[in-house]
Amino acid sequence: MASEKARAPGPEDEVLAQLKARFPDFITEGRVKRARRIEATVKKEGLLEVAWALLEMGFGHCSSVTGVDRLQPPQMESVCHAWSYERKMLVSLKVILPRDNPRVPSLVPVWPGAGWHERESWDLLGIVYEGHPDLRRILNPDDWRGHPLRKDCPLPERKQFVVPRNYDEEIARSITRRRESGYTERGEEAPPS
Amino acid sequence: MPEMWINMGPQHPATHGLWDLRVKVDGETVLDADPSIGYIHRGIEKLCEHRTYNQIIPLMDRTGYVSSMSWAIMHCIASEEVLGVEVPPRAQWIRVISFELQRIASHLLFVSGYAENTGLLTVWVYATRDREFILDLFQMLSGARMHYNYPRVGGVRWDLPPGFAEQTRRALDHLEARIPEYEAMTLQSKVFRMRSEGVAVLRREDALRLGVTGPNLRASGVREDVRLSDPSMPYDQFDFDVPTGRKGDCMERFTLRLEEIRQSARIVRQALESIPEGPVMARVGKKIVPPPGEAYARVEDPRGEAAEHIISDGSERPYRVKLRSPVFCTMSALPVMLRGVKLADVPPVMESIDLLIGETDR
Repeated sequence: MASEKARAPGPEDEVLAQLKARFPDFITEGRVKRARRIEATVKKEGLLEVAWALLEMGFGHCSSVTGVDRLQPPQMESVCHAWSYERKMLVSLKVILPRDNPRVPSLVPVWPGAGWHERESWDLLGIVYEGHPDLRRILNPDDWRGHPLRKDCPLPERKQFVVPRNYDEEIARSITRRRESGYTERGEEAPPS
Repeated sequence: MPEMWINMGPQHPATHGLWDLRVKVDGETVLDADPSIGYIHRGIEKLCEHRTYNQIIPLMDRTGYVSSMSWAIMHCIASEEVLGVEVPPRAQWIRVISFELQRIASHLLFVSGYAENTGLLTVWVYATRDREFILDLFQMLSGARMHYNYPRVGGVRWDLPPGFAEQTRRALDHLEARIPEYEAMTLQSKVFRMRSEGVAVLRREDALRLGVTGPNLRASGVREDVRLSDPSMPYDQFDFDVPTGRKGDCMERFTLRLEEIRQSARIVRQALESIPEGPVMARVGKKIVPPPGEAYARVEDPRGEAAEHIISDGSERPYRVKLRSPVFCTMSALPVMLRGVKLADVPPVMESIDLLIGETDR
């Protein structure tokens, strides 16, 4: 967008420059997206150190931790959004993980509020947060198998229901058919007709 | 007495929704708690990946069914950022009006629920009745009382109906006269005070550490409001206060929300006065196909910081939608709040964070 290029350098650029200067090896990519929004891609090994540094800089609120499942190229992203009450800006830390075995250090030591977000991300996407004190499923039942927000977990196609012209007859016929077949809802004997 | 775990829920008359709070008690005192959620998980985030941007709006209404308008507006703001459209000023103003009316309606439901849990059934009936006035306004605005489906990506569905401003002012006049009544009925009740003051204190440091947001954070003494600190709507045009508490107990959480109703009414009045003329929809076309990109939109929901992380891959459906629910995070702080509380006070404490299971479970 045009407004993006026209933006004058602000305090966001300072924060990003500080981070880049401090962790030149860990931060592979970073940009100021718009006012109050900073995006950075961090290497997995450096995530905790960058997070601790952010906490020191005043980013005390973990807004959310989430995952993104990419198929092209196959990779998993774990994104953490940290907000600073003092500086009034949001840093998104993105970590790129292999899709077949996504493991990333947990941010609970830095931001305890990340605990449930990471549980949710594990539950729905299968990202393992190493060092999380209580990595259980949270939204799905404990005995659920698989991770439903992954892209290879399909949503059933919506079937269009077309009302047939002779709708009442069709219904009557299907009921008769069911009666005759001896099937009832509870698996009991068909009632004597 | 030996310690034991008690399940409060999922079928419990006082839980305000389908969830399960396991509490560890020693006699009457709660030692620990373990909230268990997900009973009405509908997979909204997955469903969003299979809907177009405008088809998601009704889904958002159903995500936070007590504050439908704020969730739908949040989705529209996020989509507009990906799409890169400017919303016309009149639509912005209408959004502010409906957002603040929604906050009033939601807080009134909180007042009624909390009063009910502390045994003040009169306040429960009164507040629920007064909420009807707001719902009538929404019916006038959108045609529905609960799931409005009113905002659109790029603006709102249609302009304010004729007579809306007068009706709104009348409803607000009535409501503002009611709030002192609520205060008289609750704050002067000895039972209410005994069950609220000093109960379930959430300290400032804990609230900040655990990601608590919104009125619950402000009750703990942090003056933070997404409306002002990360604005996505023209709130800087209006003059209003951000009420902040000190103690962080149930009483503060209750009185602070009563004050927020007053402030929201102030905003709505100012917005009705200063609403500009003009179109209510930007030129976005019927088919919304944003360029590839991401956006993270935050709004000050009645319950705290709601946010949507939306990722577009350049098709007409979003690639990924993540919803940040304020109650979800506040609930993770519940074990800290409940430590040392008497078992009989657990239902009011649960309600004091303003529960909404629809957005917790999504």
